[in-house]
Order: sequence, then C-alpha cells, then structure tokens
Amino acid sequence: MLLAIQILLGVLAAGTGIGLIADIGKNRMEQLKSATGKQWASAFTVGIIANFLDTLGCGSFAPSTFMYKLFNQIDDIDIPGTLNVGDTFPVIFEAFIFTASVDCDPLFLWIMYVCAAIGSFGFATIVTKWPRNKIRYALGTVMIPLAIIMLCKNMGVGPFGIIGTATGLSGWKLIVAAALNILWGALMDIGFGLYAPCMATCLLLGVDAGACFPVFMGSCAVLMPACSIEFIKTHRYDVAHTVGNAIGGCIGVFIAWKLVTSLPMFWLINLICVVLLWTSYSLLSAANKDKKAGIA
Amino acid sequence: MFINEYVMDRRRFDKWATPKFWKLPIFYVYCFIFAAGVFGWIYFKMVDAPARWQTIGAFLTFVAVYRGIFFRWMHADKTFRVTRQQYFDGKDWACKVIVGEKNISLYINGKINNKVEWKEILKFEEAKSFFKLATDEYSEGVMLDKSCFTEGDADSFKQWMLDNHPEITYGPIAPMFDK
Repeated sequence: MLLAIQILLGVLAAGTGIGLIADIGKNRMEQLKSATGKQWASAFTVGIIANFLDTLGCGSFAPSTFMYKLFNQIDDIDIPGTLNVGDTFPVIFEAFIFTASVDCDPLFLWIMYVCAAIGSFGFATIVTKWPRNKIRYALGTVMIPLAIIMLCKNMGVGPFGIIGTATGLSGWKLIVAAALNILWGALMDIGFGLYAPCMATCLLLGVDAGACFPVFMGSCAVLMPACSIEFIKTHRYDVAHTVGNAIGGCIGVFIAWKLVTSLPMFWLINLICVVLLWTSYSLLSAANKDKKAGIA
Repeated sequence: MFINEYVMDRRRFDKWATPKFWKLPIFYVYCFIFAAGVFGWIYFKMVDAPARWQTIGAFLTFVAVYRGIFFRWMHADKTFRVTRQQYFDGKDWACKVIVGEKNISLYINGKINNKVEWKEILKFEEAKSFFKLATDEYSEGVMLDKSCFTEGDADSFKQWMLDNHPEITYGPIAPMFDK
C-alpha cells in the first residue's frame, strides 16, 4: 500500500510538467524534425551543464545564455523563450526529486510556496518601480557577510553558533522566512534569481542545508510556468534547444542530485557558501556594467 | 458603422481574460491530484512514513490548488496591473472600437492603436455580456461590450455581422468564458 501510494504520487508530481512537452510537440513538430546534429549537440550540452549548475544553486539562465552565444546555433531573439520554456521541466523535476529525497516539514514548504507565488503575482507592479541596480548592489553586498557567517557556523568559529538541523520553521522564524520569500518571489519579476537568497534565508534561520533545496526549487517550479505561457503562445522559442534543455536538463539535474545527496553536510555547506559568493559577484558585476552603460 | 467604447479596468480585464476554472477539463485532473495529495499526506503521517513522502503529498495539494484554481486569475490580474503600470501611468485605459466596412480600428486613450482587417478575423463569438472577434486560436481578439455601444447596438451589430460577414464563423464562446 505504502509503495503504491508513493509510486502514484511520484507519477503525479512528474506529470505536472508533461503538458509543456505536449505543447512543444503539438505546435512545432516540423521544426523539431528539421533540426541539425549540431543544434542537438548544442542543445543537450547546454541543457546538461546549465541545469547541473542550477541544481547547485548557481542559476541556469546566465550560463545558458553564455553557451548559446558561444555555440551560435540559436537566434538571439529566441533565447529568453527557450530558457523559460525549456527550463520549466528540469525545474519541476528538480523540485520533485529533492522533495522525494530530503526530509522537510510539509507545512513549512506549503507556506514558502504560497509566499513565493504571492510575491511574484501580488507585488509585480511595486517592484517594477524599484531601482534594479541599487537592489543588485544591496543584495550582492549582503551575500558576502552571509557566506562568511555560514562558513564560520560550519567550522564552529566565532559567535554565530552552529549549523541548523531543522526540517521546518515555526514562530517568528517562520514569519521572517515567509516575509522574505514574498520579497524574493517579487524580485523574480525584475530578473533576480530566487535560489541564492532563499537558500541563505533558510540556512541562517536554522534549516538543515539539505532541507533548503526543496524549498527554493519548489518556489521556482511553481512560478516558472507563468513565464512560459507567453513564449509558447507567440512561438518565440527554438524547438531543438527547448527539447534539449528539457531532456538534457533532467540529466544534469540527476547528476547534481547525486552529488548533493552524497556530499557530507560539511562540504555541502561549503559548496553553498561558494554559490552565495558567486551570486554576489554576478550581482555586483552586472550592477557595475549597467552603471557604466548609464542604466539605472 | 458601429462604435463600442469602454474603460478597461481591472474587473473587466479579469472577467474577459480569466476562464471559469470549474469549466476547464484540466480542473478535474487537478481535483484528482488534490485528492491523491491530501490522501497521501494524511496516510503517510498515520503510518509514520518519512517526512519526505508527506512533503510530496503537500507539494501535490499545493500544485493542484494553485494551478487548478488561482493561477489563471493571478496571471491575468498581474498582466493587467503590469500593463497599466508600464504603459498607462498606473491608470485604467479607455478603449474605442470602430467597426467599419473595410476594417476595425482600435483606439486607446484617443489615439489609434491598431487596425484589424476583416480577413484576420477567424471567428465571431458571443458571450452573455460581450462579443469577441477572434484573431487566433488562443485568447487574442477584438472585444466589444454589449452594453457599451455608442453607435448602433448589440442586436443590430450581431445581425450586421451575420449579413455582411458570412465567411466568419459565428458561434457561442467557449463555456468557460461565457460571462
């Protein structure tokens, strides 16, 4: 009975993303058949590498865009749609695979997902008025001390205490985490990734490092299909690269999942700190670049 | 010639853009996912299965409620608010549709926004409170509110369409949009 229900729920969770693949097959079958070998090779390479990095918390959009330009097999105009549509399936797969392999309090997850959705849908008009570059500087700067604090906690150095092992949060910590997830969800509307700030929030509030993964992955999984719909409607995506992203992405996610779940906690937290520092660098360098170009 | 004028506010946009979720076939799939998720969540708690399996149940109930009930409305509402913010300085916008012999002209806040040729209209759909001249298989098209004709009226417009454009298929709008 237990196994039957586990299989049923697994199939249902995996099935939440199948509609997207059906859409691709229905609308763009001809282009799928005429794709060249070079396009497929580029598509799968980008899908596997970018989603491997995504699962570790680095995000996939920046490395994917870099590789698309390097391989030169896709029109620039199709890149945003290809990323949004193609990455949806691996992100849902990520959320499912981590949810099924890591112990995390179900109610805590529910609240965090609801808050991410509220942030993204309810605060879109407010955040679009905010100065993007100032937020980049603020977030990028905050990430550095956060990574240092996490490292200190991990090594038991300094006054910050030790790493948390909670599978969920309650009381004021839950309120803080929920409020911040509303903010991270809202910031997704102006192009900020949710992974790193959400991961930092959970870790600092005492959540176990492994239990953070289903929180931020699920938060993204429920928001992402919203962006895909417009690109599917307007056919603004490259079919081969979208399918490559969807299938290759799941392979990349699986490899990263094996790595994350097999790493000892000490090294996993160190890896997370590296991701936080990398995110900080990306935010600050993007802000500097825009500042030089005169973009606010 | 017919003229239809209305103010595009949040209520009108949500009404036209959001289907009745309970009339969508996919809603029943989400009902099944929700039932399975709740059952799994409770069952795994009772048999003391690892928390991860309770979490899968919770994940599915969330997906079912969010995608099955709220998502389309939230998406439409966000689209309206962002459009109003970005293009209309945070204010509702006035739409004027002039249905002429040669084409259909769309004005927004008194300025010409678009001209639609009759050959672009694929379907003439009627709902309880509006007409839709559909231009594609998705939700795009020219919308006319039955109660907002400033030249002509809803009945004469419908008759005129049937008489003058028999090449455009007439029919009721999909049940989920019949408002």
